[in-house]
Amino acid sequence: MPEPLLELREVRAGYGPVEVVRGISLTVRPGEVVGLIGPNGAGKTTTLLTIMGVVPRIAGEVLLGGRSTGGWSPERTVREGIALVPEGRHIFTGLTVQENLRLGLAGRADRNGLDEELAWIHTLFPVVDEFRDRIAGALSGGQQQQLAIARALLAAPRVLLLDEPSLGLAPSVIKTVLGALSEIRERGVAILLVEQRAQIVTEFADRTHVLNNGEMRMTLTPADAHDTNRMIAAYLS
Amino acid sequence: MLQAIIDSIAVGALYALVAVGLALVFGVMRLINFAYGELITAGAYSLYVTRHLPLVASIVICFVVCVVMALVIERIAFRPLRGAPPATTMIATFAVAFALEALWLIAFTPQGQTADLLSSLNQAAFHIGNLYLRWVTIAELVAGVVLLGGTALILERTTIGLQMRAAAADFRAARLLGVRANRVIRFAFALSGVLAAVVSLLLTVQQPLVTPTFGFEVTILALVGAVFGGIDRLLTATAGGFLIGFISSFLGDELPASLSSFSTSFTFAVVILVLLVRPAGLLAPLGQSSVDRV
Amino acid sequence: MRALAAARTLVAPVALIIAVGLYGHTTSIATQQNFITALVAVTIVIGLYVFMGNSGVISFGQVSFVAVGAYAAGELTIPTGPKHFVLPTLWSFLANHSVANVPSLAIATGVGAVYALAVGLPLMRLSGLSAGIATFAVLEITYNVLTFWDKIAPQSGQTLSLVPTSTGLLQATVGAIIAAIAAVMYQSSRRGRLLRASREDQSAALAVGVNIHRERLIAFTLSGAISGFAGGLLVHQIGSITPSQVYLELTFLSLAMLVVGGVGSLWGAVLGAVIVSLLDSYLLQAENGLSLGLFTLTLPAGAADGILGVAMLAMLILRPRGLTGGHEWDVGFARVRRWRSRKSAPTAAAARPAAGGGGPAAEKTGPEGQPKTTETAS
Repeated sequence: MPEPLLELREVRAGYGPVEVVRGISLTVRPGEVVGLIGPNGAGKTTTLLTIMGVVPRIAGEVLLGGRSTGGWSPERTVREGIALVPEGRHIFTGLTVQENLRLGLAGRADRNGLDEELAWIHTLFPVVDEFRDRIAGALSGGQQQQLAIARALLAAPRVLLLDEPSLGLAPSVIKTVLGALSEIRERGVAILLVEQRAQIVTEFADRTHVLNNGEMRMTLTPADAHDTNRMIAAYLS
Repeated sequence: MLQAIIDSIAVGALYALVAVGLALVFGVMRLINFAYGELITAGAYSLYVTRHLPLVASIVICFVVCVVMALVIERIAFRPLRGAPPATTMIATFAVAFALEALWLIAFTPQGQTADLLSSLNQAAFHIGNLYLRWVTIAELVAGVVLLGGTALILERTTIGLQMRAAAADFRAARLLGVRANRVIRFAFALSGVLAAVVSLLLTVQQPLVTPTFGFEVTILALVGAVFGGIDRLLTATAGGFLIGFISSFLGDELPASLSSFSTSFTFAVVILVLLVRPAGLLAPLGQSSVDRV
Repeated sequence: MRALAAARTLVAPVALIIAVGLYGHTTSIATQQNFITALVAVTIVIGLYVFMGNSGVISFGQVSFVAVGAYAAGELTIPTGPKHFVLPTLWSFLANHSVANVPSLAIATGVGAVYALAVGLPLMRLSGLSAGIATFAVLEITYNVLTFWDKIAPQSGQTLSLVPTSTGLLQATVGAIIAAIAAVMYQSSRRGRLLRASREDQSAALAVGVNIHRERLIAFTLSGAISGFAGGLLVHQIGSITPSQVYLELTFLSLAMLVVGGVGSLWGAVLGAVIVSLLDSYLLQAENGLSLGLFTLTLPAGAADGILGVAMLAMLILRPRGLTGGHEWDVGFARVRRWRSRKSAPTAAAARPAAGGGGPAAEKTGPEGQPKTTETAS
């Protein structure tokens, strides 16, 4: 079993005096998809933002390939190999699709293999090539989501964090996104997937953690996705 | 009247340049740099200090001084206050301006010094009847077009320009893509320093006497102009700066003698009226207002 | 209950005001002027605070009201004989009347309030940067008119002199206290708290039916009244006034005093004004030689402003939310609470000042940088 690429050890984080994340530990290995579900306000987004260095860490450690990310600015975290597809995508709606993609290059440590990766991204998300000169704001929600993931991939991340990518998307688009994530996982990228739709994630991920009130309550396997009792227990935990 | 129009266009171009400098920093920081005028003053004083050097050397040093000073101001007033309430940063830049004006006063006397290296540009280039067009007017218009065009080109075509536009739209999202916040901000300040240097060069042509408040006065009016036009976008801010400069100069020339001393009041009354109807700025596209009205 | 909480908010500011007045009384006549200046500055900054602190809107125009108050009070206290000679073109109402000190202050207050009401009616719809620039435009217009309209002020910006100097330590102290009381009465009133609520969250306030325009206008008018009053105090301290004395420098200085002290609280306004004003005065004095025990410090002319600027920058970097962080100093809280809990437990909970008037404004601690809009809410 390969070493964990991303590791959280008893991480506590929050805003000012309010602790939102209260002692979370998890690992993600290369080629693994780990899910994170839970009700609103459970601390899922905050966990991701803490990994990225946006929300200050109060205690615990975040390790990338065994190295602590303590003190890393968001920009540095990206360059070291962790990319985030934020909730709501945060596409620059005033810029073109092409320009949005170019911005993704900012986090890339070196340009080796860029051409090959671009070609791969275009096969994953053909829409990105089709609409390259369109203003990003004119794209549909599903297309913007694909653009957001493509953009994050351009930084050649070893760890990919996604915050509610299925939000507001039609089921067919979700299938496309999940298909792309499968391919990304096959390339050895470690994926941490935050979602509201518990069933989809539990089925797809290698394991799914349930978060509530900043704490990890239980861990589900894909088999649990069809076990109604387990799912209800997860919701009520 | 026609002469007034020609002169006012020149004044407008100058204010437009200052407005661009202000809007550049505002775009990325969402803050007004009240110490921006001190860059112009610094540039003008450097022209005085280097007055015995060859002209080209003086000009180059002027640019260097302005850019360095802009970066220093970023480092001491903006960087330590990232995340502070906007009012605090605003007053901090004012405190810097205050301190610098005291420095100019001590170093160069309250009466100021003369930097007339370029005053030959104040002569007329062309005569048409009794209308005259001065070299400096041409220089101001050319500088305005070139600098505005150059700035737009940088923003549209270069990577750093793209990153600046992204940072202006959504700073955090840009950082989360790996855009280096500090680099983008420093670049914006440096660019505003270049613009300030050009303004100080042009301003000394018509006002060779450099006083401690040399740049401050221009900046205040240009700021009003930028907001008047719409500070959210470079083009509207520039146009606003131009308009204010034009209007205030034109009214100053053309109002009847009994009212001419009130030209500033008329100009500012126009500003108030426009802001009441279009708070985001006269030229800001409808519906793109991020300024609230209650 | 609310009155008690409001009174508690007054303790620290009034105590400081009285302390300044008392200490000034012990110094030489020459040095006393520094303390009078500080107290007049307190009144000006309180005027600014009443609007900015409660509404969160930055105004560059409050000094306009100080200006009209100063000129009104000044002109009306010059004896009519010399007035006709020195100000021949003055409007007859101003030229032919002369009032005593206190009525002139009342008139200054009224003039400031009326001017603020007239200006605020259209302007209070604006927020953020547009409000800042619009109020700045008011300042410019006021300065321009006072300089050149010889029906209401001396020609071409000449000094208005011969004003009796009736603002001594006592008047300055009492004036500052009156301003502080007015400020606290407003901010602990229902209207004041409604406005503060809108400052925290504009859409929420609108959603519950707060007429933000009206509440801001009320605060703005009160601010104009206090500012006008301060202008009356000012002109009676100096004995003269010129338009440039109530223009850009005073505007930025009063803003700096408020921000350095802490925009959201009266205590911040008073503390900031006292500290910056006294610092400024002593630095200015040092330009003429200040004896510090063993040696004399003489600063080069103009250095005072420079050092003041650096000092303010340093204070802001150290305390970005101001020296007080925008909080009132709630004295006597512990004592009141203990007394109440001896009586009965439920009342103890009610005695907590968090809900009471003049309580600390909840400061938003955003985790990252600047807000996205051109709103400049403090």
